[in-house]
Amino acid sequence: MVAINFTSEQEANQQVELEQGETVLDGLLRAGHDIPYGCRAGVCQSCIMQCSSKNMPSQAQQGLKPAQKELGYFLACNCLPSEIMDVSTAVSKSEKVSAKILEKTYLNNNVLRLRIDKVFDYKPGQFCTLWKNKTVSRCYSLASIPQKENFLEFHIKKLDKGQFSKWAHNDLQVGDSIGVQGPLGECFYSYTDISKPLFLAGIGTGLSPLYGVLRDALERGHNGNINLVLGAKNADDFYLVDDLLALERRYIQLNVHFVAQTLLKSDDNKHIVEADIYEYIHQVVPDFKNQRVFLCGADSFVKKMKRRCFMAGANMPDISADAFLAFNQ
Amino acid sequence: MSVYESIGGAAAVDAAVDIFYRKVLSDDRISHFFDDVDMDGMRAKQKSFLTMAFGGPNEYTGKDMREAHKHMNLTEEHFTAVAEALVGTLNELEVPQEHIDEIVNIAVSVKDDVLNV
Ligand SMILES: Cc1cc2nc3c(=O)[nH]c(=O)nc-3n(C[C@H](O)[C@H](O)[C@H](O)COP(=O)(O)OP(=O)(O)OC[C@H]3O[C@@H](n4cnc5c(N)ncnc54)[C@H](O)[C@@H]3O)c2cc1C
Ligand code: HEM
Ligand code: FES
Repeated sequence: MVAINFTSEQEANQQVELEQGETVLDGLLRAGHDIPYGCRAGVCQSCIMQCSSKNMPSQAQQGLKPAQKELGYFLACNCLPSEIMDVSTAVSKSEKVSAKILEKTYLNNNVLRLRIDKVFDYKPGQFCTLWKNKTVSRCYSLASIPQKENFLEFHIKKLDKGQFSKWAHNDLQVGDSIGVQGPLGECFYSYTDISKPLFLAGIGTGLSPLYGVLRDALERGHNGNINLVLGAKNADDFYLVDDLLALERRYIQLNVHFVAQTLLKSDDNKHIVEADIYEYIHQVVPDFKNQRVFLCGADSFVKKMKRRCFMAGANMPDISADAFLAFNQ
Repeated sequence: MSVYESIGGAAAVDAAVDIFYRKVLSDDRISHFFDDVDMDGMRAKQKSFLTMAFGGPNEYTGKDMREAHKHMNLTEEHFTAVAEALVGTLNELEVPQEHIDEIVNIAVSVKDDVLNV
């Protein structure tokens, strides 16, 4: 049995015994402590804490910056201690800033475009953690580009029972303020990519980070060939179609592909194909050698594509992926 | 100079890891052991494996090797498949035969621990 000594702003040194296989986050929550968290998978960094003793499992610091590691920051949801640890709620809560909602627009029946104050600099394709209140937070990817746009843009898909997305769609108002933390993630374009062939693929709101990455690449003068493949169940699940087609007309190096699982006879489908997205991608890009790859959207899609791209010749360091992990209850 | 240094150290591991991983994933005899959904995590382990096989710096003991492979019920066939993937990778990278021989010797020297016999 391992114990942790926990200190917060409200509570001085309290000992919590962890059960077998229990993370620091789960143990503290079970003991009734109010610890913020989001993904429970080491991605969103909502549960960041600080440890003053040296015996921390390295897994718990995965994804943190070197400076944060040095300061003893770690992710409680990813921490299975093997020895006693002294932990405290992180001082870095100051990293959470407040931003004003500037615009709410519906891009289709279930995708909301949210624009908020540009409260920090970032690279398009990175993601932020947005806070509904003191305890509920979710990750959303950045679709905007800082060189041209003076706001942060997110594309949020509405889920029927979605704690965050339903609230954002129904209750959040222009002029309200929202807590933002970030930016995080390595899914972005860099100058070294400038003449490589780019392959971008996403399903649903996976377009959000790709829209950022794509426009960033074009703005910076990317001169390699670019394939953007978007997948959805039905034709009306796609969004920003006209904007993407306009970009395709303007940039000869860009090809945009819309792939629907099922098309209806009534669909206006000049630019949409009906196909299995994995088969379709194999037709468009049979060989991934030297391709710079970006994969975004549902976890299952991203994992499967990552493997397929790798087996078809892409090098792992050339594959950037943002899996939209669902929040674990 | 150790084999690890002669073939280029950490850079050699970087050059080899994707080739080796791809070979392992396409070999039906062993691919299921490496089916880990977290490809980045698995790739990090492949680097540990290659560093060790190349005679590079590592802190694994025979006991660690037993622990790491204990639950897999590995057989001679699995070991052979991994060794073939390793040699195939080195050939592709045009590593001189004398170094390949030395690397195979290192792999064979931990065989009993890996197979837990
Ligand atoms: C790095 C990262 C980037 C992300 N970027 C975006 C983005 O740009 N746009 C975006 O819309 N989302 C994005 N997500 C997903 C987002 O963080 C939330 O998980 C999602 O919006 C659901 O939150 P919610 O509170 O509305 O639903 P919850 O209250 O968490 O879930 C409600 C119900 O829906 C289920 N569920 C959760 N997610 C899904 C899903 N994807 N499909 C089907 N069912 C689901 C849950 O299991 C639960 O039963 C991203 C996630 C990560 C980790
Ligand atoms: C040539 C001899 C071998 C050596 C030197 C070796 C070395 C290693 C090393 C260093 C690790 C990382 C341990 C860790 O840090 O967790 C590892 C993990 C692993 N090895 Fe081997 N290995 C050998 C043979 C094999 C064989 C024959 C198989 C199966 C076909 C195998 C399958 C695995 C798997 C699946 C893991 C990941 C374990 C996990 O993460 O749970 N190895 N090996
Ligand atoms: S990183 Fe721990 S809850 Fe998201």
